[in-house]
Amino acid sequence: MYNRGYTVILLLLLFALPFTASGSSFLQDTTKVKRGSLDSVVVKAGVLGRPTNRAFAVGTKIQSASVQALESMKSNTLSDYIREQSSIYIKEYGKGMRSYISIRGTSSSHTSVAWNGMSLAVPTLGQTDLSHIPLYFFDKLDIHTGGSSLLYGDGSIGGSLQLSTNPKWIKGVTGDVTLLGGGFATLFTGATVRYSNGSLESRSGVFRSSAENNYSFLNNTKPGTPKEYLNNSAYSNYGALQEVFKKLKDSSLISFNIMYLNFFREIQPSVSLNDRPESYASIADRNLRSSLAYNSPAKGWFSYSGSVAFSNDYEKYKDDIIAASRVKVVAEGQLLNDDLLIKAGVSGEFTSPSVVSYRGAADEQRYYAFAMARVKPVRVVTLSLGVRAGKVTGSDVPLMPSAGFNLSLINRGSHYLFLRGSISRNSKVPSLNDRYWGGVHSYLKSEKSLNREVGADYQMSLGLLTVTSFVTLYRSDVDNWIRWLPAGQVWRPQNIPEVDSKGVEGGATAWVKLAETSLNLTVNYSYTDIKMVKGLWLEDPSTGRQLAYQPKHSLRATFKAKHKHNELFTSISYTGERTTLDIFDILPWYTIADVGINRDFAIGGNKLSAAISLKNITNVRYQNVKFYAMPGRSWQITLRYNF
Amino acid sequence: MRNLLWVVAFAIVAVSCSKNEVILKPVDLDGKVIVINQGNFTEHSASISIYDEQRNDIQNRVFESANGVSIGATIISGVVSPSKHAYLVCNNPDKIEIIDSRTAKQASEPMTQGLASPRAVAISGNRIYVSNWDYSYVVTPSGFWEFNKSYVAVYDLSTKALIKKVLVGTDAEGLLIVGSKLFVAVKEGVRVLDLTGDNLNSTALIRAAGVTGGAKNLVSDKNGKVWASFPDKGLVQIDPVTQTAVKSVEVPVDFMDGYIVSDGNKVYTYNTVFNASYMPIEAGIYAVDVATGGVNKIFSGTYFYGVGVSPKTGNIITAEVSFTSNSVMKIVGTDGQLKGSATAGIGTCRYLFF
Repeated sequence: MYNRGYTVILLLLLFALPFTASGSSFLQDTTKVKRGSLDSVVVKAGVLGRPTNRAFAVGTKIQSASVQALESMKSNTLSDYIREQSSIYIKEYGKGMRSYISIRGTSSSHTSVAWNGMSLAVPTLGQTDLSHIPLYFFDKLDIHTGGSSLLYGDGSIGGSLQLSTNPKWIKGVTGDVTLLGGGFATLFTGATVRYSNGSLESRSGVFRSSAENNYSFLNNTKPGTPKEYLNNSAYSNYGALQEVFKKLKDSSLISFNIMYLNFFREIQPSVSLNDRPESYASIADRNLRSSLAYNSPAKGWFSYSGSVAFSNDYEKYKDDIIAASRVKVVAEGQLLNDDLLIKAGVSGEFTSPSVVSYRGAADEQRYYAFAMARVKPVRVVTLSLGVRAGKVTGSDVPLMPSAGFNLSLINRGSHYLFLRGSISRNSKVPSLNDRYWGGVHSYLKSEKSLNREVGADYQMSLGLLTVTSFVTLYRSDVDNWIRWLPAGQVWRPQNIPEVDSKGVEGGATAWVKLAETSLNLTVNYSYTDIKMVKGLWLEDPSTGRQLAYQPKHSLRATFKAKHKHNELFTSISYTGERTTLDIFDILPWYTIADVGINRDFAIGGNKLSAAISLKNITNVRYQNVKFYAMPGRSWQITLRYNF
Repeated sequence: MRNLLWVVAFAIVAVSCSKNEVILKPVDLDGKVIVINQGNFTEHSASISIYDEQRNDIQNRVFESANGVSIGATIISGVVSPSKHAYLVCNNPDKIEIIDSRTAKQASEPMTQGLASPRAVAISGNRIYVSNWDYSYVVTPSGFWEFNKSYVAVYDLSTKALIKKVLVGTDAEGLLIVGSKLFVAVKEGVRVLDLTGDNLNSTALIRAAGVTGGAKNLVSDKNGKVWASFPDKGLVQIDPVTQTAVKSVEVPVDFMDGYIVSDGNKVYTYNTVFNASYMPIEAGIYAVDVATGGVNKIFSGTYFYGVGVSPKTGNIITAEVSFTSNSVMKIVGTDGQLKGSATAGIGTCRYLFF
C-alpha cells in the first residue's frame, strides 16, 4: 500500500510541477522565509566573499542546527547531536564508542563530513566516526540529506554533514569555559578564548573528555540475562583548535586554522566478551586538520577564494598502524547578479597512506572540477544546475550532475508553501582500504547513485504561534555498493550490483512566544525502505528485504519550555525494529527519553548557564548494535561560563 | 545407512577392545539435524537451526527460542554425544555450549576452562577431547598466521573438569578416535596420541610421501581406515593399526578447514573456486569411493562452506553461503539430484545428525 501511495504522490508532484511553475504568480525566494529561532530552516543564500556551496542546494533539504541547540550540546559529540536532534539513524557500539551515520539507509561512507570544506573522513577508511567529532569546536552545522556530490564531492551519496567555524568580529576578549560531569565518570572540560580588534581575530580552544563507562547491562548471552557491569570501555580524548582571521584593507579575508584531536579508547567488548580480559583491546587515534584560505573582497559581482589544506591521520590498533597524509588545494570563483549565481572551481588532492597491510603503491591523486548555477527565471521559481567531474588514481569517476528547483506556491500573509525537487547523480570512489587492504582490488568500481526527491516546506504564523513543517519523498538507486565478503581464507571487497532506497522524511516545529515565555515542540520522522535489488547471487535470501541495521521507522521529538532565564527541555527518540545480517534475527525497537533543566545567570555582564539533565530516564536496557550494551539511566551536569 | 552403522559398530568394537575400556555408543537417530550456522567472527552471529529430514522443514534460531538468550559467538564445529547432548565448539568467546539436541535447551553451563581458539571436539567414554589453536602465532612470509603451539585439551565428560593439555603441533583441526588412539590433524601431518590412561603420548606423525601442506580433517570408513584431508592434495588414507599412510587421492578439498564426511562407502569433500576478483564462481561436492579411490563430482553450486551426509537417508546436505546474508541449505539425494532447500542462518557449515 505504501509503495502505491508513494508512487502516486511522486508522479503527481513530478507531473504537476512544470505546469505549476510556469503558471505561478507567487513570487518568493526561500531565503526570505521568516526564520525565527527554529532548528529547521530553509535554504539561505550563500554569502558573497565566502562562496558556499550550500546556496546551490536548491530542491533538497538542509537542516541547520540552531545556535541554541549547538550551544546546549557543546560538550557532546556530533554523534550525540545527530542521535538526539534528528531522525537520522546512528549505528553505535556503546557510549563514546564507534558511531556511524546512515542517511536514508546508506552506509556511513556514503555521507561526507567536512569542516570548512576539509573532509573529516579518514582517507584510508573513507568514512567518519562521528564519536570523534567534538561539537565544542564548531559554530555551525548543516545536515544535508540526500545526494549532494555536486556540492560536496566524493562520497555524498546519502548526504553530507557540513561543520564550520567563523570569526565573530567582537572586539576585545571573549570566550567560554565549559565543564560537564556525569554518570559513569563522564567528564568534559573545554575552554575557548577569542580576541579581536576588528580586523584580526584569534580563536584558541582546547577540550578534554573522558569516561569510565562502567555502566550496567543485561547480558543476553548468558542464561537468565544476568546484570553485569561493563569492562574495558573507558576513553580519554583531548583536542586543540587555533584559528586566525585577518581582514585586509580591501576587506578580503585570510584565515588559518589548525585542529588536533587525540583519542584513546578501550574498545567496548560485546556483552559475550565482557568477562574475557584476554579479548580486551584499545585503539589510539590522532587526527590533524589544517588549512590556509583566502577569500576575495565581498564587493562587486565577482569573488573568488583559494585554500590549501593539510591533514594527517594516525591510528594504532594492536600491531596495526594505519596512517595517511593528505594535501588539498582548492580554487573557486563566483559570479552574482540579481537573479543569477554561478560558481566554478577546481581542486587537487594528494594522499599518501602508510599502512603495512596495503599491497601495492597506494598513493592517490584526485582532481575535481565543478560548475554550478542558481537562477531565478521568475520570482516564484529558483532553479539550480551543475556538474562535477573528477579523475582519481586507479578509479573511474562517474560524472556527477545535479538539477533542482524551488517553487513558491503560497506567499500570503502568514502562510508560505514551497515545493522543491531535485535529481542528481552521485558517486564514491572506493576507499584506499577497499582498494589495497590485503591485496590490490583493482576490479572494484566506484559506487554511484541516482537520487530523486520532491518535497514541500510550509510555514504559518498565527498570532503567537509559528509552525514550520516539511515533507520529503525520495528515491535513490545505488549501484556497485561496496561490501567486504569472504573469499576463502580472507575477506575481499565486492560491488553489490544494486541497492534501492526510498522513503519519506517529515518534520514540524511549533513555536509559541508569550511575553517572557516560549514553548517549542519539534518532531522529526523518517521512513526508510532500503533493499538490495540485485545481489551477487541469485538465491540470496536478503534480496528484496530491508538491509541489516536499517530501521524503517525513526522518530525524534523535543520539547522546550522557556520562561525568562529558565528552560525545561525533554527529548524522546524512537528507533524501530531492524535486523542483523541474519534476516531472522530481529532487534527490538526502543524509545529513549531525556529530561533536563537549564538556567542562565548574569554575572557581571557575563553569562553562566547551568544545566542538569537525566538521560534515559526510564532506564531502558537496549542494544543499538547487537551485543553492544548501551547505557541505562544517567545524569549530567553542565556549567558554561561565557565572557 | 547400513554402511554407516557398520562404521559405528566397528568403532564400538575397536574402542571396546582398548585398554582403558572406553565405550563408544552410536547415536540413536531421530531423523533430525542440528545445522550449525557459524556466523561472522566479529559479530558473534552464530545460530543453530534444526532440520527435520522426514518433514523437510527447518526451524531457525532455536537456541534463542529455547533459552531466551543468544549464543553470542561463532560456532566452529560440534558433535552429538550418545546421550544426545550436542557439544558446540564456539570461538569469540571461546566456549563449548552443551545443549539437548531435541530441545536446544542448554544442558549445562558452557565449558570455558582450558580453551584457546578451540577447533574440534571428540567424545569417547568419559572423556572429551578438544583441539585448540592456542593464541600464540607466528606470521608466515605470505602474511598468514600459524598457531604453532596447538594443543588438545582433555576433560572429564561427567564433571567437565579440565584434566590436561597436550601439545600436538601447528594449526590443530580435526579429531578422530579409533580404538585407544586419538588422531589429530595438524600442519605437520596427522598426529596420533595414545589415549591409554590419559597419557596422550604421541605415537606417530603420519604424512604421505609427496603430499604437501597440512592435514585438516579426519573421518573413518567402513573398513576402519582413517581418511585425512590435505587441501594441497586431497585425501590420504591411513591404516590406524600400522599408523602409516596407505594411499592418497587427488580431489578438491576446501582450503579453510578441509572438512570431510563419510558414510562408510564414500568420503565427501567440498570446494569453492574463486576468480581473480575473489568472487566465488563454482563450488562442488565430491565423492571419493573408499574402495577404489575413484572421484565423482556429485553436486555443483557457487559457494559451499560445509557438507554433511545423513546416516538415516543417505542424503547429502550442503549450503550456499555468503556471510553477509542467510545461507540456503541444499538437500541432495544419493543420485546427486536436488531434493529440497531451506533458508538457514549465516555461514552454514556443519550438520550434526541425531
